[in-house]
Amino acid sequence: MKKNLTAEEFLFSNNDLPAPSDDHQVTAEAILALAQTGKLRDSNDLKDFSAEMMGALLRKEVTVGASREMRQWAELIYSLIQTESMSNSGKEINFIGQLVQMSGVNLEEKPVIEVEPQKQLPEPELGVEDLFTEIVEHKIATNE
Amino acid sequence: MWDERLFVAPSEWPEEFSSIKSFGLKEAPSPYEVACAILVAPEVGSRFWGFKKFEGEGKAVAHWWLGGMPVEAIQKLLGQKKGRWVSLMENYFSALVKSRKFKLWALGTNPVPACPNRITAQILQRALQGEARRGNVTRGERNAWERFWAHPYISTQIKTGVRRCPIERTLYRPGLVWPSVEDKLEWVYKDGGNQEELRKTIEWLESRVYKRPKWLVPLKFPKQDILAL
Repeated sequence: MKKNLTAEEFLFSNNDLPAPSDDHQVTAEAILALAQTGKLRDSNDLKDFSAEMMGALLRKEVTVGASREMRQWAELIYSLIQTESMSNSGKEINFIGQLVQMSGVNLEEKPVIEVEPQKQLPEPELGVEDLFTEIVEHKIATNE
Repeated sequence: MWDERLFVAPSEWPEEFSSIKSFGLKEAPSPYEVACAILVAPEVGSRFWGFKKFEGEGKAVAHWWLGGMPVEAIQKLLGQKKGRWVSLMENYFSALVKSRKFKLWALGTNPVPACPNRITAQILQRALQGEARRGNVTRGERNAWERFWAHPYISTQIKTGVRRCPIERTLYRPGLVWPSVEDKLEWVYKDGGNQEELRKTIEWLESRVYKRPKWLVPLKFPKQDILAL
């Protein structure tokens, strides 16, 4: 039997989120109610909300169209949260660093692994005697 | 070269420039910041800003002025009505402001709140660092730009001209002009081959002082003995 959480219950359970199981599911109505309570105050709340939304979408409790709208709404909330957190941070903020971090581009030079070339032993210079020995050894080996 | 203001970005926008000097923004970029952005394009390609339709004469006047050419010299070169150089510059900057990328840079706000995904972060990082785009723009990037421009965080700030999260604007090409006369004089008084050439040129010009126009602020070198001390 499913245990439906209300928005308030879900918010209070944020500190100890129940593991997703058949017994604990957050319905689309609860998610919508949660969104309407206006209690998404920081990025962690938004992360939790997004995770629940993804779960609900996978369980087919919300339609794709509704999910798209919710995503846009969540992006807007994200913008507001970020704007509030950055508006007092001063001009010296490293926004390029933030963009690099978000884009996942690694600006650092890739480490070059230096591989030492395989050492080649100098071939011994062959004298006439060596040539003779080589021929004899070859003949012995072939039982000639 | 005779005037100490040459290659020094003006400290303020001209008084007569009231209609455009703010670029429609509450906190407009300084002439030095604009000089670092447009005197030479941030990347090799000429299409970085995407400027459209401006008069060549207006561009020339604006670049002369940003490059530190005295107003009197500009007026003399134009040889026409007194305020014409201002209207030429106004027309030029009005055309520049139509470029959304330039307006974003001039706004000087942190774009991170309007970055919901990696592609947007990548294109913004390239744009605000002045990096060249290798290859053609992909459909994903084009869509990301459109979504970025339509984002309420950005569109609101561009329309109102008020920046919510101020940042220091990127100085794409620092070193083209000096930010102040003091910085220029600091360079001029250093020892070096270029400074020596300049000194000789100024000395040669000073020997023809009768040719010096009244408005000129001559560049002066300290005396050698003072330097030696």
